[in-house]
Amino acid sequence: MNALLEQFLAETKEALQAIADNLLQLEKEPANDRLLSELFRLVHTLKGNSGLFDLPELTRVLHAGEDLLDAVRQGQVGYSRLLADRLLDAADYVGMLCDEFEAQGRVDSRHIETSVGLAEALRQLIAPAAVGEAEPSGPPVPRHELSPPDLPDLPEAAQAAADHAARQGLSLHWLCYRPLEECFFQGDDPFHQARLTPGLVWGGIAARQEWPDLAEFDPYRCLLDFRLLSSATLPELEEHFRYVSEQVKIVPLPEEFLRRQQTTPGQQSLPEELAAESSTSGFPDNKTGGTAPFPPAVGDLLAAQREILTMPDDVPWLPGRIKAAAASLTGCLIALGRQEEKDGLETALNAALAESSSQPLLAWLNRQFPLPTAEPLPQFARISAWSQTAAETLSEQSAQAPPVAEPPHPPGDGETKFGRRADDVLVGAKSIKVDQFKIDRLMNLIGEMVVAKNALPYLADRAETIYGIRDLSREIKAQYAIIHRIAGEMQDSIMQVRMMPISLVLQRFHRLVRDTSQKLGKQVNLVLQGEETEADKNVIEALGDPLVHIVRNSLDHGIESPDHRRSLGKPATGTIVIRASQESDRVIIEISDDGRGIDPLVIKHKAYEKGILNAEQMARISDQEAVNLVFAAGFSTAETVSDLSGRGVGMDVVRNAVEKVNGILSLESEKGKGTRLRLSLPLSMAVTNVMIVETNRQIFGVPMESVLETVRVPTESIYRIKEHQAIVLRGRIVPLLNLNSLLDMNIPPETNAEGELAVLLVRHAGESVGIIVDDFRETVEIILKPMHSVLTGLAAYAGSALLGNGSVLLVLDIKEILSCR
Amino acid sequence: MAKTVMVVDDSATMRLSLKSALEVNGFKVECAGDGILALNQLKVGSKPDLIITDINMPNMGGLEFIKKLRALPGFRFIPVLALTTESKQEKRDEAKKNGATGWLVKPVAGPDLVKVIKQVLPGA
Repeated sequence: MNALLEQFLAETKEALQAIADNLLQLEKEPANDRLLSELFRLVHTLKGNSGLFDLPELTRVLHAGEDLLDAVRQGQVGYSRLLADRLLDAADYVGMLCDEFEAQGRVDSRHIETSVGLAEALRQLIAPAAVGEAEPSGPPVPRHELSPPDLPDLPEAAQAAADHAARQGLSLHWLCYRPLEECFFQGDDPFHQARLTPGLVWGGIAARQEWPDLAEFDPYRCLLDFRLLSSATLPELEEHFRYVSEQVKIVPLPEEFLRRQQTTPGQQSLPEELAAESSTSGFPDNKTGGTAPFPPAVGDLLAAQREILTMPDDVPWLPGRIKAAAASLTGCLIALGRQEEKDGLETALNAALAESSSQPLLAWLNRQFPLPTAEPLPQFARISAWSQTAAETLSEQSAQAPPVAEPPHPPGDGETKFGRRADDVLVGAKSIKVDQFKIDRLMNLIGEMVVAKNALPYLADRAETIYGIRDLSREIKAQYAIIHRIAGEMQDSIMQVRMMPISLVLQRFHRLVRDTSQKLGKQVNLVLQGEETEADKNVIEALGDPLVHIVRNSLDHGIESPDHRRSLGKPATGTIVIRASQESDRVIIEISDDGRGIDPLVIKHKAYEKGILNAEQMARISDQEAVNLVFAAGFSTAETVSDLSGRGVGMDVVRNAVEKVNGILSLESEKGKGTRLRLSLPLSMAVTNVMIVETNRQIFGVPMESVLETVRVPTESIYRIKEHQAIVLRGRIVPLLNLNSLLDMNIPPETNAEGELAVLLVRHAGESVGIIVDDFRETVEIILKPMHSVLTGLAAYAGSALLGNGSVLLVLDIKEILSCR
Repeated sequence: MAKTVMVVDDSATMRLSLKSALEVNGFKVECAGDGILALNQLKVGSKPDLIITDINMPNMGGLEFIKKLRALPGFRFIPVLALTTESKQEKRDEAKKNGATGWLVKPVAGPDLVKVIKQVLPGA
């Protein structure tokens, strides 16, 4: 997928979320113009972006949405719930298309109908009158009244060229371009603009009025008119001048005008010859070097010879140069059909060779092909021939004519510094987007660094014990302390980068609650608290689905219908509160509702019916234990399977998802008052705390999340119940298992000197289980790496980690080990 | 020397699209996310030869940006193209009234873009 598409999809998703949020917010305060503008802007931007890709379905819907919002913004259409619904539908549809486009690289054609339907539904909401407006306007109305040509007397050369163009069947247009006086302040460059006119045949610049005195003259005001003759078509010209269309008058030249030109006696000859006689034209041939009416090549040649002949004469090859110039000039004469002038050229050449000077030849050249004198026509203050040669002659005349307002170029850099003030601080973007891959790489590197760092104490030990250098050992330890501190801070900082606010998952719940409660005919108010609490990206992502399920459950089973609530003396609108907070290194998310709560009796009966409990258990378990049964596999309290929470996933799925990220889920409920679910998740999953245990002379890591406590148990206090062992701990029976046998090592556990067994109490499926090991060691922070390739089959291990001494620690997956016992 | 174009648009997609289209054609490109950011960049020494700005942006929209830009010394004459999805004439007129040199209708294809730039940027 290319970067642009990736960017588009990411931005679209963000924008869709923002659109949904804004719509929901707008529902609460429909008069908020700021929200409305923001909403419009988002849809507008999306529509604009969608045009970059071949996604007509997307663009169609977005366009309709944009038009609708525009109408709302301008007060033509009122905001309504229906409108919000349709817009949300449209947003969902766009999201779906984007997902599909992302997954398959294209969009299925069957979506076209949906998109047309959605677009129509949106447009229906726009008042009928407004619909017409929203339609793209028809072909542009000609912007100019075609007035009779107000033609100045064209220079003969221009007439000839026009005639030439007309004979080639080209349409001719006369253009008057009168730039705004302040056009320079709009970044316009009229001269450049005019010069690039397509099919330019002739062009002239004229002053609009008498030039003011130099003292009053403002060079930043454009007081020029451009007269242009072009052989391009009207659409081409309109396209070229579209930014200044109101300043340009385009008049097609009537045929009779051309005919008149053609029938004028003496003007029937070829344009070249015609032009040769005219020396005062402002013919804008910007390709040729001269203003003279020659074919471009001849003009260029003449200009080149003139240049050559004006070079200093003090070179040894002067005769050769003069002869070459003369030969070129002869060629020019032949090309122009003026062979009779060759004699004069011959004479000039001989004189030049005799005098060893270019002057006679140059004089001849200037005589036969005079430079344009550029005498202004009556109403033209100056005819500018847009060429260098002309510029030379212009400079000669600058004394006679007032200066032309040249398009000024921006004032120099020097001015910028005045624009800088002390308060002009750069308000740059405060955040940058970084590929997660890069962060992960940083994370891995710092992990390796921590491990490498941990080798230093071993080194210090060796320095002392093996090499007997105590001072060195001390220095290594001191250095270790420094590196340890820096590495720790670095690790924290990098983990901080991965932290994201919980609001990322919580914000979508407004929509979920709104839609769901509407569907169920309930009134529910969602309150979010502590959205700014941060947690690791992985944790945040893992949180999404369980939370959705929990909230759906609350909506479906928890909150009662408004009537029912009223009869219970509760407010008709139920409340669901999602509160996030941080407790030491864990994130706590509580979802509470003020609904009907969970009735332990109902649960017990359900569990009994489903065979989860037998009659005896049913009588024995406490209310809290009964409530916790909702987490049991295959348990669903829904009386009827609704399309909401009854999607075949029960709370057991939720619990599994939470436990996968080392989370703990607990539930409290009071009948009639409501339910509270509490999720506790680690802030970050990057660093794992493990306890090292030893068994059969090997060490293993056990994640601290599963460790409840460690106890030393005298062998004699172990009970045997059939083949199983158990201990009584604080009045509760705890089953005992042997790690050796769990790992298929048939060696009895070792006791310590006092004859006690080391028992690790772990949490499994909501109850405590004791695991007998040989000994406990320290707890360490490790970077847990999942098993690779063929080792992934070893489900008993959560992964491995490097220890400071370079050895590998295998970390046990307690849950997996216990469930396959 | 390569001409520098500043692209002001709140949509990163549009920025990326214009940036690559311009860079392919030999322009140097600077980007800004809204009018305020763009003005700040210009105030601290950025000297683009041409500015292309979106109209509808948060914080500071394109029209306000162009107005403020024209008040900055050194940017009174710079060509500014307004990026717009509206093909309506009044929107264009509004942009022109606020000091834009011309406009571009989104989506902008590479060849069109270069053509328009050549038109407003002498020497491009």
